Amino acid sequence: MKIISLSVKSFGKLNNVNLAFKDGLNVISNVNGFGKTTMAAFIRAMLYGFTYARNKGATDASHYAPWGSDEKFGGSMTVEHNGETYRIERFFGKVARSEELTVINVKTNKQLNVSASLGEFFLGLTADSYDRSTYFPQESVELSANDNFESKLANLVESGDVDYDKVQKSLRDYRRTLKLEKGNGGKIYELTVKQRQAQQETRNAEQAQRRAVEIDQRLNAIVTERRQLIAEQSDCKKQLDTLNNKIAAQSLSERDKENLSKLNALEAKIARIPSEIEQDKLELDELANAVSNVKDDVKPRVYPNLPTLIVSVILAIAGIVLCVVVPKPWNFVSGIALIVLGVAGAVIAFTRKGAITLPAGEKDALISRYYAIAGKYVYTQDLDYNGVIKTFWRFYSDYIGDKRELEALRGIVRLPDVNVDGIGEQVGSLERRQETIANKLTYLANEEGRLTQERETLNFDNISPREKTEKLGEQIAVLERRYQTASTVTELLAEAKDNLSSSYLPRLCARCQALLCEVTNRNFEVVIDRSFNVKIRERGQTKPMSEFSRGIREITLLCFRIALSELLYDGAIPFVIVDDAFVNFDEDNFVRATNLLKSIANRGQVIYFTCHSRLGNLLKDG
Amino acid sequence: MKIIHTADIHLDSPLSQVGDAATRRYELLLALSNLSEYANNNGVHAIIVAGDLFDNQYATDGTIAGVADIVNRSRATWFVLQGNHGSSSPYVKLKELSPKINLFGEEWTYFNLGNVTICGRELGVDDITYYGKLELDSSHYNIVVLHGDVDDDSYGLIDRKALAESNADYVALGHRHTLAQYNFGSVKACYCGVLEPRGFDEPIKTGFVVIDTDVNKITFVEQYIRRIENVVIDVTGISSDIALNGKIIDAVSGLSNRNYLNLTFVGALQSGVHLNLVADNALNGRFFALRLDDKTTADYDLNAISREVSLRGEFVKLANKIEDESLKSAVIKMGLQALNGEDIV
Repeated sequence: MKIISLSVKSFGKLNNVNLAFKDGLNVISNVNGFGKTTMAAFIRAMLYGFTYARNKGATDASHYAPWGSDEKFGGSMTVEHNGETYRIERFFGKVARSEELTVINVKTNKQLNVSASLGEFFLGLTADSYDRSTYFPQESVELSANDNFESKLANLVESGDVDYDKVQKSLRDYRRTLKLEKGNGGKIYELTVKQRQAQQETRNAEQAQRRAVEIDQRLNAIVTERRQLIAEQSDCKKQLDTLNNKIAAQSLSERDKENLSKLNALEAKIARIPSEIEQDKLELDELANAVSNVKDDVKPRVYPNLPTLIVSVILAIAGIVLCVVVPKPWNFVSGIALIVLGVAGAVIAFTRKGAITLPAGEKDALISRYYAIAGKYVYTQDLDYNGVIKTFWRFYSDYIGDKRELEALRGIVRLPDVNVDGIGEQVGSLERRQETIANKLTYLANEEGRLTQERETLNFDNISPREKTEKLGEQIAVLERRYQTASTVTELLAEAKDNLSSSYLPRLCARCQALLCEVTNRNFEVVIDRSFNVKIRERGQTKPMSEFSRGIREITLLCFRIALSELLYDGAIPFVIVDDAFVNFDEDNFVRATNLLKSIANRGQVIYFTCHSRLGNLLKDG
Repeated sequence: MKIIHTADIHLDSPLSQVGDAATRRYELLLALSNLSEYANNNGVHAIIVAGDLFDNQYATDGTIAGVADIVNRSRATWFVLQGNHGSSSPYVKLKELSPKINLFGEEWTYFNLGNVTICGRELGVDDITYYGKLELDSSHYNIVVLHGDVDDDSYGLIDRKALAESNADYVALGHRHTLAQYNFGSVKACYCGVLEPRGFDEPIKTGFVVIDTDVNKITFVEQYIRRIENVVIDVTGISSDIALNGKIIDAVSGLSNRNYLNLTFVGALQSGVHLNLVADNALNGRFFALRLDDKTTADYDLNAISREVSLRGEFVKLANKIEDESLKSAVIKMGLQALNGEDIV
């Protein structure tokens, strides 16, 4: 592409300016302030328009809006491209949508529809690349005292004003606001901590819910249990009342109690006496009788049979009475018969032998036997036979007395007809049960109070923490996404820088070296690493750029820029616009720079704006 | 006979997308109450809830009591299926508070209302066998109540064939939240939608279905307390924050601030225009709930940039290889922002 002419209606300070350009070198010289930079900006605006984005409070459009002119803001430019001539008419407004653009093929008079940027259509470059390859302002090739050659070169290659390290730092800083690479910190960490807290709150609430269910179940169970206990307590009380009534009904008077006590004592006393005492008593009586019948002289004696004798006497008396008192014949006969019977009986009575007598040895045996039997009941030692008899008789008399008293007491003491002791045990058992129930009820009341209080303090609202967890989760996801984006950008930028260095730097370096050698007539070798550290080797010696003169450094930078332009345009630079770029170069460098321009002009179009008379070799042929 | 079919009310569910979740939870209950009022005023005999009345096993006592109040005041008979959310616990409590409510069991549970039979069961266990046991009287109008997905048996099997061959007249479905009608053979089946949107992913159209068993006709009755407003703004050509603010205000004017606003930005976003900042500033607190979805692309000719011999050219070239379109867009936007020296936010 080349520029044939331009017509400025109104653009910045330019009004109704018309310029025509030829192939090769075009030198536009005028007084200082005539608007060469504005002219360069006009050409750029014709090709690329304005971005309309605010930059430090103003847009490019507002910057170049005409002052004090009624002409339309913009103009036209005629270019030649691939053998066709096009007229670009472009008029601007305050915003993008008010911009008017028309591209007409001059030969066919047909309008050209360009979907992409016009500059890209004609030049194949973005506006950014155009700025780096086509437009040469003063600051692009000059080095001031504070300028760093390497950073300037890096910026040139990497793109315009981009400071790679600064960009990476800004991305790193941004990532750090989200999440620290080491340790805890950043918005994501803070949100994660909050989310964990919310999750814990959820778990606590769910636990509280479960606890509340447990408490409710227990409280219901307590109600049931208490109802049962109260029923049991009531039943217990009834039973106790019944038993107490029974006991009250069966209670003994003091007298009864005394008699009962006496009765029990007598029963106990009698119970201790061998039960065969009555038989023993008879035997002892017989023994005593036997012993007493034994005379010491042991002579036998006759004893009349007393009953027989008495009956005989009675019969005799009866006979006499009949004979004497009632003198009748039959009575007399009967009386005589009775008298006879009586006499006969008396004879018989006196004819029977008396009690049996025992020999002395047998008597001792009887006494011994007496001692043995009596000894079962009384203490017989140190007592003679008569003493034993007396002692036993006293014992037996007491026994008989006790028995009589016992019988008498049994007649008067009213024994209860139930087992009072058994009732007492039951009462005791019931009373213990009642106490247990009362304790249980107290325990249940305490437990109920404690559980009710606990339930009131339970916070089982799990919805809020779940909401909080979800919200935080969404926020974390957004930030994680941003972190991932920032990390990816960081990685891609690093990779992009490497790619740029490895694919373009060698070519750039080689072309720069060729241009530098050509323009300086010296045999330099340019070495550049990925960090844009440039070294120049000459006559076997390698020196960093800083050791070279400003002139060499500036012409090297110009060579780099032209090399980059060639690289961007893929070898053929269609045109360059130089905005008095070499004005501060020393004479030697000025000549070298103008030689380079002439060299470019041989292959394309050069538009050189200047407000100075120094033109070096520009206007010289060859 | 008129019967209402509703489902998926999800009472007491967490609502993380709205500012005032407590109010919204109350409104879900209110929506159920409104449905009940509709039933009372329109001669509806029965109300079927085809699952997920509650969202969680830990529904609050207040909510359960609220549902019980609604049911107890209702003149219609209620039939409730538990569904796949939560446990039976709230339903057991509900039944205690409102004994007239009818709950379906894990086996086919049949209820007769005149010549209408409503039957249903909780899905999930041995479903195939149970379909074989489904017995419906052909002389009745039969409604089968189920909760599950017609295309996915993860939550239980909806056996279209078995239902088509049954004597069912209508299958009242729950689980999917968007109104959708199917034909299982000659049997009508329907997901009834939801009563109210709970979040931005819910359908815009909300309400319930009314079945008229006399003519075998179903009608969707639209009902809402709040609805979702979807607005799309194309930011192409907007060059300043003020212009964007104006565009947003214009786009949302006329929308009720009671509603949810789902605002999507599309188009090419120029650098220097702070979309989130402006949108937040213009809309925050103005609507009941707000979701901003940034689907804009960077206002650059990425093809041209990728042809550049520059860091950003190389960067865009590499970024274009990212397969995830959303990540690619975000990476390019952030990368170009960083390369332009803009603040990354």
